[in-house]
Amino acid sequence: MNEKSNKPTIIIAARNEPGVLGRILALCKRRQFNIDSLTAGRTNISGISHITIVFEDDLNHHIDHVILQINKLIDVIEIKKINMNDSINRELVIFVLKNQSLANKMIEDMEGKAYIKKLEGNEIVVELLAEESVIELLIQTLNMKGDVLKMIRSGVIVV
Amino acid sequence: MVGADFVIKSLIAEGVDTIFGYPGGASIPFHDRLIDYPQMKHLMPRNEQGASLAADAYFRMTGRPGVCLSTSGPGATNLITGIANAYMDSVGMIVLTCQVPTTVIGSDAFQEIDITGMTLPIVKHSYVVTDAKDIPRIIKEAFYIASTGRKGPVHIDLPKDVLSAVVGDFIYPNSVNIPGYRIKKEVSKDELGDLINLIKESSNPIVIAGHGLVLSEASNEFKAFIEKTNLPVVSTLLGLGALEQKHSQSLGMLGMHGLSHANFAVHYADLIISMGSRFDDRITGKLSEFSSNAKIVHLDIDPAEINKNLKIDLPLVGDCKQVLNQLLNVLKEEDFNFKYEAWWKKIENWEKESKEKTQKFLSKSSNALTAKDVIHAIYEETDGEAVIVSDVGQHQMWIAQHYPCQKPNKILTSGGLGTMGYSLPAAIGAKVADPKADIWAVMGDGGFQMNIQELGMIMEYDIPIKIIVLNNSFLGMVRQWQELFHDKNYASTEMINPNFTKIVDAYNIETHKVETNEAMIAMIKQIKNYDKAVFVECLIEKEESVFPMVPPGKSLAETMITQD
Repeated sequence: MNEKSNKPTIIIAARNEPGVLGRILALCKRRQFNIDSLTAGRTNISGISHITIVFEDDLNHHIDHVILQINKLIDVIEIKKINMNDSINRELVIFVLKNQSLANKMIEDMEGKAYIKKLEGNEIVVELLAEESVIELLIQTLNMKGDVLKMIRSGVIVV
Repeated sequence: MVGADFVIKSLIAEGVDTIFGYPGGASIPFHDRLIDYPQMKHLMPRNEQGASLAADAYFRMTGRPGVCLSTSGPGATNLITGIANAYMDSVGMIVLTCQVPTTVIGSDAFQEIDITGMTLPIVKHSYVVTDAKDIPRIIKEAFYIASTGRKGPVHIDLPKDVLSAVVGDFIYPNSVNIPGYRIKKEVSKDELGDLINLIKESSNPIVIAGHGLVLSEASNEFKAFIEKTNLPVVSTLLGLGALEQKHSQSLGMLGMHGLSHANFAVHYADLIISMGSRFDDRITGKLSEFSSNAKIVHLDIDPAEINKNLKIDLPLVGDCKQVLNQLLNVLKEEDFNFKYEAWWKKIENWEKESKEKTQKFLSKSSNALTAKDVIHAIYEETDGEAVIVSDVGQHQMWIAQHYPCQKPNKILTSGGLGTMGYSLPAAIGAKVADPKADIWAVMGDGGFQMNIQELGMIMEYDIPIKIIVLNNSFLGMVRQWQELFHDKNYASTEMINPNFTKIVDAYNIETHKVETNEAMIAMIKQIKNYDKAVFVECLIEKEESVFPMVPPGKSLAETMITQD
């Protein structure tokens, strides 16, 4: 069981009005929740956005109250607490790696979820699209200081 | 017609007849159009905080959202305390702030401030209007949000160019469409059944009456429920008067300065039914020891209040009035013969003991004029019809303990935020809202000076309220804590006061000063039928403390009845 799946995760359907994210985050900040990742984007319903927030932890056990508070917001249509392990989720990670062999190993280990996007001199850009649990496992095997020039995660989308 | 016309016409469509507003550069297009709407009263405070607190009291008196308006920048920031105050006490309010033109927003223009950014945590919702065409819809939504569910302030920011924009015909919408805003008003048959079973199974039940009963206008239903079930009732500060306090089943206020028998009854209860109260720390005392033996039922319109502070055994999300009606419908089919004789006997004994202890203590203390004397006199001389608009502090607690409310909203005060300076502007708002009401603004020397400038409103608009300042030359409540818990280290609590008589006199308001009980009673008798503003400074006992008291960090069972 990896760490991240113990992190409180919520998905929100909200009206895409200016400031809606600000209101949601203000409520999170008030109870001192730190955000691990946040994604927001459009959906098939016009005017409605889908927001996924993963918090670092819930040391003070206030997540249920924050969820009720967010639900009260006028622009929020629906909010759910999610168990990451039981969900359909995806995250995009872009790595800029120092060495070809590591890139090749990553492509092989990720069984079709990773692609080499660019080769330039010694730098190899690898793009990985996978479940959050797979990404977490991979990251644990990497020597960040040694092999990775850059790693940028997009934040997870949970359905 | 311009955007400003849309604003005023929308307010009129909502039944607004009064705006508490203060003009400035950004508001000129708005104030310029007011002249064509003589039916809309516009009262100017001397500080925008006065406007927001007056609008607060307007709501408490009428049940309709109060409206306050400011210009941009500092005018808007001056509203913040009043907005936060309304938010904490679930008061319906529409806050209109004029803003710099849309073309310069975000450029740190003159008198520009991100006021909607600042009010995010203290409003139910807010809007920045970018197109004047949206004004009618926005105002309709704002009023709907402010006055439904758990009521509260809604903020609308109006840029100057939007207010001046030329518009077409005014059409006010018939309905609102807010898919994310749903309010649950009633509970299920099962939940009603569970509640009734809990009551039947209990031996020591008690009801906590909170502000929600007042906001829901549920007094009649609540009284019928209480009389049917023979349950004892304690009240929060803002719930006072939901049940008339002289009712035989009303025990009085509970909490940090509640009556001791009320606190003991809650502590030793085996069933607590909270209606419209939120288990705030002023009433619970030490949370971990709050009624550890009781099952707790919590009726509240706000689902986020359930389980916030305490584990609730039976949550009931709904409107107090509607749920009480549902309950009464079920109860009328039932034979309810529980008298709880042993429990009532216990409560009466606690009350008797506390009276004896207090009597012994009183006979030892001095003969100086006290706040309690003044409060009693106001009650006696007005037959309890006076509406007391209380400031914050010791006098506020004495008012809650010694002014028996026979109806809701006989005491208007700042509960959740505890805003000093509430009394004077709120009394003005209350009188403007209900000119027939007999409004008495009662405050300490500290609170008086916080919004003293509103004497200007009283002078300008001839507002006939009674202003009573209880002057002990101290920031009394803080001094009390310093005496009890910090070895009388009166740091920054001794008030060096000016000559209040001279100041009030400068505003053309009749002024008096009394120092003895006899003089005070004679004065109250004299002024009670005044139809003009009058000010009475009462010099009261300097270092008296409010008791009973539950010291911080202690449970309700540890209520100190007197000083020793």
